[in-house]
Amino acid sequence: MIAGSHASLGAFGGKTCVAAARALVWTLACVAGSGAGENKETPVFDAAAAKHFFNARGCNACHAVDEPRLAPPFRAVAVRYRAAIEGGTGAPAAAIEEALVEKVLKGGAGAWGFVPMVSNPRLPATEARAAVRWILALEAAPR
Amino acid sequence: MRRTRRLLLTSLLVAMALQAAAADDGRVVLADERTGLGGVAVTLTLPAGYAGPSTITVFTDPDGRYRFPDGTPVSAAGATLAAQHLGYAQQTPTEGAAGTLVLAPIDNLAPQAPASAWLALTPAGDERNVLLTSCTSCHQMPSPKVLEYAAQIDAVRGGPDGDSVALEAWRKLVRHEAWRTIVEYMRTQHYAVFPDESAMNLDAIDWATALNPDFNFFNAQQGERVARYLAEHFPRDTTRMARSTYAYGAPLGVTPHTVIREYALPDDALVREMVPVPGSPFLWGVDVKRNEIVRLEPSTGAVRWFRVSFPGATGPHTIAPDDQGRLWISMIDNDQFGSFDPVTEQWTLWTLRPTGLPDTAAMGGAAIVHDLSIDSRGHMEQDADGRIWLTMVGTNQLGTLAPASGEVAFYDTNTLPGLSPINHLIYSVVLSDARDCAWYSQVNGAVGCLDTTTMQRRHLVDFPEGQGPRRMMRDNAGNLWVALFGSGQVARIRMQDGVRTATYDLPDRASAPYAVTWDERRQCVWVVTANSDALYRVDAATGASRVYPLPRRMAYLRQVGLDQASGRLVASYGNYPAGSGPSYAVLIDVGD
Repeated sequence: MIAGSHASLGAFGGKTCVAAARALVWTLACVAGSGAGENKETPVFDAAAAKHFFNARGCNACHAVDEPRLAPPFRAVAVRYRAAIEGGTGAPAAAIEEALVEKVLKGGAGAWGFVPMVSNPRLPATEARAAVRWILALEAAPR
Repeated sequence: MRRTRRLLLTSLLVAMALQAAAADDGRVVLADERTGLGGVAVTLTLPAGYAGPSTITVFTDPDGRYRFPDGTPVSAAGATLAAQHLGYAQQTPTEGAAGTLVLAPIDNLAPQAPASAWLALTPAGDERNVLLTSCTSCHQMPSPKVLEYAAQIDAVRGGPDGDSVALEAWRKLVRHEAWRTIVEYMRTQHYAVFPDESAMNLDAIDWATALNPDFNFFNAQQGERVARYLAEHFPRDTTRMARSTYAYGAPLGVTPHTVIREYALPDDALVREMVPVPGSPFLWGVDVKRNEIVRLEPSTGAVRWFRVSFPGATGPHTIAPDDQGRLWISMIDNDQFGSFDPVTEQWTLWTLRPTGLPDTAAMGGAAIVHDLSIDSRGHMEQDADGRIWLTMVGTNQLGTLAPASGEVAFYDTNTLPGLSPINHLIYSVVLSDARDCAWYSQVNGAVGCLDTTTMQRRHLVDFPEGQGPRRMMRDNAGNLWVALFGSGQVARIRMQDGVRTATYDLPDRASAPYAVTWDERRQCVWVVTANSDALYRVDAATGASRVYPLPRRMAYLRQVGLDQASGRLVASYGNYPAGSGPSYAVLIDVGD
């Protein structure tokens, strides 16, 4: 068994929770630029804004929407986490979103493989949150 | 009883601090012995917005006494005072400018050791040299993020149960795969080298092209060697470092008269290098990230930015003045080379686009106009026919530009099997004193020279893989000095016959010396380092080194300019990517 860093999801409980925790491993490796902005409102990304963000922050070094690179495609991430949210386990969507934001910022080791993802300490949390929301809203299959 | 004693000691320290507040001199002492400590850096940090430098650092004499230069605003509201000495931590508060500072020895060097200290824990030799040449070109190795990532790898749990041999084999696999992935990741991060607005970025190319080692600064084999070395040797515990692990390795060169002034630059700038200009009070620098150059007035700290007059990204990279005070600037994007007149504030630009570049939006398709020919003072120098010589990283060539006519030409250098043109990482170029030979260096190759008349190669000096000949400068006695980036040495080559006549070990062999600057008056070579947060002074006659610690971690230096009139040194910190390290210009009064 390969175990990841589960502490941040410890309150969820249930099998889906474990899957969600594992899923928080090899996602969203981004190179952060500088910036603060903790008190700013979370922006809403459309496709163009997301594309710009992933390129500017270097997330596309590891992730693409559909192409496997060094890390899972965003669409696979979306499918996995939506399953956790919609699976009836009681895991609140907001909590999963928050855990994902934390994973983007702090990195971690675990379940999409045993290779850890890098942290992004200089990335503003608002931008990380906007990216997570955009990813989670991806359709299960490309149109 | 113990508590009472602690209270008394605290009261004493506070009293000492208050008593000496606002003094421009003071003393650094040990907590227990009350004895002075020599060679300690004492840094006054001024509040943001204060006119002049952001920090001023002086050093203590053998009795621990220090003195700031006359006129230093030590009592400025919000100023702080900190003492730094490897292996010691400050006990007195930094708030308020206090004259007496108390240090105590520490057991754990991890919070203050330079990046190179971690490599003191790993085997020296060719493999480590390749690691340094491959990684440290952009960032300190290990940078804080590398240390953090090593801890993340160590935190991975799982693997086979109950069999310790199998478990260790599994953990080794984890380490290897994780570092391999990071090496691949770093191939894509080469694009962080390019400026804002650059058309060269990951969105412009496909994934296979992004990972293509032929379009990177290190080839596939070197990448694998780096991953294997890290997996086998990189420290697993990155939180502790024994005090005995690291020392400067040579006597300190600083004196009570040494003064280091730092000037804050924007966090999102990446000013790789700064230079003094003959007859001018200003220092000039190049911001490779924001497509600008900067003018700094050291007495006030005032800066002014000048964008390159080009409709697109340029990435100003290397800067050198000429004898008339004009600035010459190479740029890594859009094949540009330029000259800027500080009086008229006008640019003149030339395009240098060699033939034979691959037709790709990847960095392998860029000319990457790099360094320009310099003399023994670091000034731009032209050959007898008025041509400036330039290194072209994309094609592993030398280029020439005749500014008067605008004529450009390109000439092949030597090649090594297994390396693409960009893999050679051709770097600097220096004209011989007779201006008849253009000496070039390749970080992953050799040092050679082309005859400036016949354009044929006249000399070639081989270096083992990983030694990393990087920036060079000549003296006025026929010698070419070469920073060996990977092996932590300085080589001396006799230009007349191309013979390597000396190789001097630097005090820290993992310091990654980036550049050398000849100092005629002092008969020494100044060596800036990427990895040891220090500057070295190498005596030209003996090769003996002295260490000048810099007052900041991640003090990555790529070039040092020498003000011929004052003897001051000028530099800036330049970590990739922009914002990952300190962003300051640095002015050093050597203090001799």
